[in-house]
Amino acid sequence: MSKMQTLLNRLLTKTSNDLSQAQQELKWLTIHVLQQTKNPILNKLKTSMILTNEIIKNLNNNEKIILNKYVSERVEKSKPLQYILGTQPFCDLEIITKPPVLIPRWETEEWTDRLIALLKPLFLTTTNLASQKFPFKIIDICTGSGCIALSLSNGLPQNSCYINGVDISNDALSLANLNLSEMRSSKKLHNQVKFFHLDIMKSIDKQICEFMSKSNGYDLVVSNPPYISHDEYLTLDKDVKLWEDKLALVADENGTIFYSKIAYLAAKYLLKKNSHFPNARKNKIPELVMEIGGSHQVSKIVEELKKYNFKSVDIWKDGANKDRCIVANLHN
Amino acid sequence: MKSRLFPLQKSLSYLILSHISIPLRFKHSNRLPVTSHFISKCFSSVSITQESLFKDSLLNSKVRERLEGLIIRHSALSNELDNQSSKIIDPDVLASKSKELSDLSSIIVPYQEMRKVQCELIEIDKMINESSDDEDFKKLMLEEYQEIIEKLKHLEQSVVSALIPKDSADQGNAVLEIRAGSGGDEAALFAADILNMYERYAFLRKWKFERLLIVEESAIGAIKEATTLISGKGVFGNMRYESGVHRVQRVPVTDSAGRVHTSTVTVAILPQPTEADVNIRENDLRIDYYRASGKGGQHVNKTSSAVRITHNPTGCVVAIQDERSQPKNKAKALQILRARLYDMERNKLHQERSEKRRQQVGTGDRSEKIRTYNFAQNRVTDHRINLTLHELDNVLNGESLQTIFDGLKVYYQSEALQNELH
Repeated sequence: MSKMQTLLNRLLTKTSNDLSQAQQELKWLTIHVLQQTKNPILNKLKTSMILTNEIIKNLNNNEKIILNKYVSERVEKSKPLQYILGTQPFCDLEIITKPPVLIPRWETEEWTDRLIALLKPLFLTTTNLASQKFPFKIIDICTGSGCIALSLSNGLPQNSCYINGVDISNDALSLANLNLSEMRSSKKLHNQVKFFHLDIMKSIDKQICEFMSKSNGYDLVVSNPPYISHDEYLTLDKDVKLWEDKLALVADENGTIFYSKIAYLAAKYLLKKNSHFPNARKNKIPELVMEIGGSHQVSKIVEELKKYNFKSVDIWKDGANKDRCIVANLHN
Repeated sequence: MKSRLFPLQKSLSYLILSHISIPLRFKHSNRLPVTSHFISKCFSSVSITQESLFKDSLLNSKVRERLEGLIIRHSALSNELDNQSSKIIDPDVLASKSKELSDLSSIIVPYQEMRKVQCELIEIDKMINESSDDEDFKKLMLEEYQEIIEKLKHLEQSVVSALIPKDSADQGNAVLEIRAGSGGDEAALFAADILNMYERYAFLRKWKFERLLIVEESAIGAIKEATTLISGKGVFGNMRYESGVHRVQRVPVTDSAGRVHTSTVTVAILPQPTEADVNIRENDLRIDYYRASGKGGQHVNKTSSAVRITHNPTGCVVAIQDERSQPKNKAKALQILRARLYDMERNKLHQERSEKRRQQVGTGDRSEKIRTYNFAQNRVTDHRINLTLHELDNVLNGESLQTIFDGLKVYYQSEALQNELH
């Protein structure tokens, strides 16, 4: 059995015996090894996208050891591929991933893309001068790696908006700031982004007031808060359970406790009463966008939103046809 | 090698002379265009009986008839529009007539230029014949003669290109699909060679070559299927005649007995449509994600980002898994799907049109064997135009492909021209 065959067989246990998926993972891992050793064969593999026996056979000893280590981590330790590779593509960015900060999911990428497409026309009709004086302000609650906040910054027109991200976890904040500086140096940061430490569940109103004193309120609140129930958590794959921060995944009250708090804060403190973007209402741009765990949470969350006078509540489905976001407006 | 390129070049001098008989009909016309005096001057020096020798010319009698008609129309139109006291008041009519005039000009201008150059050729021919004793002078004249023939060749091409209907897709990008056909691993290995050939060619043309989908056959670098996007100016127009079955004859590396095998690879070139060209209804699509059951979102961290899109009305399926981002895979799959649907639509139209004319038009049949790559004889033969190049390496590294493409272009253009006239 060839070396490549052996590696593939081991990876098959992680891909539910899907050979083409195992081939993909092995290819990505090999590319990652070659990147570190700066082996010139890397370019060939990257452009041809074909991993051959030949390439695996011709790895030097050091490279073989690293590749073996990666496969072992993946197979025996259930380490997520994104933590091994160190990045995950998200919208037009390569988000750096580090344990235990939540790895960006494709569903989140999908709705962030949708949101960017929805927001863009807003800045085409507004003159540059106006948006410089009054940038569109966005807050991302439970920002984690910063993927949503940073993608908005990258995807929206230059200097059209201003984005803040908050999180309870210091791991998350330092990773978000790392991603931020990475983006700045690669000139992908088109709008200002700042990250702050904030524990929204424990914070009392005084702390929120203090936080808000730095800002005049926001035009849009986005969030991908933890939404997995304690029971569900027990059933999750090792890849998730052993590696990703429980703080970013699990929430009380069947995974819905964050939504009530976010709705309360958004209605009372965060959302601006007088927007400088009257077109936002006309274009049906929501003021609140929150990712959810599925249809089972919808009625509870809608109830909470109504309590704080949110209207035009709508559900965005993801590509797998599951209820993925709840969006709403506070003002008419 | 190049002399086999197309019959046109073989008898170039005949061809050029053939044009000179064009003015025949104009002689007695009282609506002669500006260049009429050239024409009558030329006419006297050409014997009409030669015409029978000129079958190879693209501009045969039917084409010439058409061109005559166009010249009359052109001068009528330009008179009508030039006239200050023009009776055309309706701006729409004016616009459409101006458009027609400018379209006609793109044909008439090179055509009239061509006729002018033909007259120069006659003059030179005369001088060569009359100065039989002065060898130096004769040599000089012969050189000039050759130059003028080259010039005429280009002008004829311009006239032909202007005459046949334009395909807007020619200027744009193309999706290239390669599939290993009969011959197992060897066919898949050759598919990889063909893919490489087009990639090198695109590189030489400074076009962007993007691999959208690669399905590997085995770990030896063979591929079952590849889909790529080639972007640049005029990609489709240059490569459109590559669709068909490519045949390889060689001893495969996998055959230890050293026997020659014959294997095939199927190539398809599809024009890349814009979103406006193909309107895909969301409702017609079924999109499947790998392991999409379960709750998704934060619950799972799946590394597979495979996406499979089925277009229900046509049954067309595209699956992509190369990107680590699922939305990117989906976007790629949609791009390929759009190109395939656009191609189907174009083929349908094409077929309807040919049926209307009750005749078979060459291109489009993907099961047609179009080219053979023979390693033992170091040759590549394109069967449609009987062109053989004895430089297999240069073809496979993309350098000699343009020679083949140019030959095919002339061949199909002349065919399209004939079809236009029926």
